[in-house]
Amino acid sequence: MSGLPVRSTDREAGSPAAWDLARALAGVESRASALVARRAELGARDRALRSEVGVAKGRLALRGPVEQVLERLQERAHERSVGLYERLLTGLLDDVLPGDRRIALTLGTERGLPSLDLEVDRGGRREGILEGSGGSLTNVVSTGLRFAALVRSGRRRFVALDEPDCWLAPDRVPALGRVIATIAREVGVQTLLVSHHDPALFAAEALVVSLAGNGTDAPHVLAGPLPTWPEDGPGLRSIRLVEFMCHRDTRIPLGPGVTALVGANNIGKSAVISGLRACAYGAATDTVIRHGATAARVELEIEGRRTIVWERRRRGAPKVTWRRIGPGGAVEIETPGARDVPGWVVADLGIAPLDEIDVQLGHQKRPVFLLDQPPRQRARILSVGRESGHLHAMQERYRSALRADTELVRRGEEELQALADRLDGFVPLERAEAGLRAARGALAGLARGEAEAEELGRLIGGIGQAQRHVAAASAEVEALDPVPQAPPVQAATAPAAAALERLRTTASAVARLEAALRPLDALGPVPQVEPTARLAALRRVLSDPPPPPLPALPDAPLPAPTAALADALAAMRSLEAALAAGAPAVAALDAEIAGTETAVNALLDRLGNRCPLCGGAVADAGHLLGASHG
Amino acid sequence: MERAASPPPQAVSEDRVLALLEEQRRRHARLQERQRLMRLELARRAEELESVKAEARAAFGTDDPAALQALLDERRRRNAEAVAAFRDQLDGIERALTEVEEHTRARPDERRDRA
Repeated sequence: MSGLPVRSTDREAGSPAAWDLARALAGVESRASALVARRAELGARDRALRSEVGVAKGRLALRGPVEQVLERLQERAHERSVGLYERLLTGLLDDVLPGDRRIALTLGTERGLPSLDLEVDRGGRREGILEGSGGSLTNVVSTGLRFAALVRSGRRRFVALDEPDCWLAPDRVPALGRVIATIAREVGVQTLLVSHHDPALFAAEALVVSLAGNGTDAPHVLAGPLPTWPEDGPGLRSIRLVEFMCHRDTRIPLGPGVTALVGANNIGKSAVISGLRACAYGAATDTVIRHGATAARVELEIEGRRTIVWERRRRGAPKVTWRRIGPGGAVEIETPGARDVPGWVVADLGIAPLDEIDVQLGHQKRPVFLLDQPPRQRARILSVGRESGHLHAMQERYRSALRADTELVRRGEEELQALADRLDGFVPLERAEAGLRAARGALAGLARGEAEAEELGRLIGGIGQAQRHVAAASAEVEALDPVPQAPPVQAATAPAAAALERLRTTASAVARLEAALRPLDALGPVPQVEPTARLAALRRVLSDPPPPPLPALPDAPLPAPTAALADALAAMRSLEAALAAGAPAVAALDAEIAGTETAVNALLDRLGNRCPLCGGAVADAGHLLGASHG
Repeated sequence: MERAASPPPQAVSEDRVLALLEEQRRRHARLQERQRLMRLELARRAEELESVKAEARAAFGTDDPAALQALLDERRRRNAEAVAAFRDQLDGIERALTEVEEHTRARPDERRDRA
């Protein structure tokens, strides 16, 4: 916005008020700016929404292929995690109990977690293993599941099966023995198989160790030589029970593969597994201490020629002690009085429950493995369904995303339509913007025009004013040119002028004196008077107070002649009378003289105190009229 | 211009004449100084006039006041026309803006969005 200066002359001269125009333009620009900003907001929203809707549409367009990929992944995951078990268990079942059926595993989810159902599929008809099938099938499937769980667990590959063939017909026991031996060999699981069946049934597949007597006799190896172990090969070498249950001191040698512990009922076969459970789990009470003994002990010889010893005292402390004996017979670690199994025992043995499920050490009284557990527990123990569960979750999320995309597209297109309508309303704004650009240019041009007009006005005014100044100055210069030269002062005329002036003054004074004296012409001649000095003195005498009375005169002498005196007296009286008669005349004369002197003084003053006759200087009338002035 | 009221010669004394003469002499000196100053002023004003004229010639090609006045009248006329055109332009813009604003106001959802 170009700003124009505020000039009062604009308004005074009635010229366009460019400032008002600029303000008007600023107001319009402000309105336009607000609308431009709003249009930009809507435009940005439009672009963002178009992008979002476009992406959502793209995702929806890929829905089919993505769902196919996910389904295929799910199938593969199922195959990897469940299919293997299905084949394993079905094969195991076929080997032990041949028939037209297969084991079917179904993966699902419970509360977001994988679950596993196991069923027997008989030509498409599925039934539960525990409820719908016989115990023999349960024996076989449980054994297979235990091996599977062990392999998945990561624990020591050792399993003790306490009469897994309890529900099998004797003729199927050898088949189970073969299957167990095969699995143990194939997956490298050291197996202790406790069975009450005929030892001959296992002779071909296992080291058969027979217990006899009442526990006092050493066990007999009925089949095969005593096992030979590689020095560092993993595995339990032997189990020794001392004063443990019915065993006074029994050492069971174990082979790397399957060791079948056989013997008559109540001979102490399961006590061997109890000994394992006591040492590995700490699961034993004083009841395991042989009657009459003060303590029971279990010794498990493991790789490295080390032995883990568990001991429980009937009385005294420590109640329970674990120790590890080294190859030289020295105690390497001892943990007395522990309530729980020491960590080092768990680490050395590698035998421990898994999620409270006893995977490695089977129990004679609980021949069912996993089949009686909840589906989620089965899936967890077998470590199945995690991948499938992830995929399932992924599919759920994808479906959720698709729903969101569908909604986004629906609402987005509605909003885009509304935005298009709104943006259409801004079309006139483009016209206004173009107009504003032109208006800015016009205002700038107007400002230039105003400036030029102002400059013109200034120049015209300046020329006029300068011309007026020049004319005025020229006129004045012309009037002053030429200034006459001042005449020289004629100093020589001064005396003549002074004399002339004096003459004129004198003549004037004479004239005035004559005029003043003219009334005096009526005066008669000045009377002759006696000298007045004596009279004046006399008058003073007379006017003085009378003198004091004279002293008494002496007697007159002889009369003298009085005639003379009388004459004198008469003369004196005459004089007094004359004097009295002449006093007013004298006073009148004095007054006239004074008046005359005053008039003369006035004349002299007007004549410049010069004598009108001789031209000499006179001080006053007295001087002129007196005898001093000749 | 100073003018002295001269009395009749016969009534003027010599001193008066001399005094008058002195007075006139001083007056003459003043007039001469004024004449000098006015000549200087005249020169300055002439120079100033020439300067303004030169400025006018440089800016507008003439120093003739009449021509300049005609030019000024023409410029003012054109400026007035430009102002009128400008106002028309602003009116047009405002009409367009009002159109947009009314369109915007007409949408309640727009107001809701802004809120």
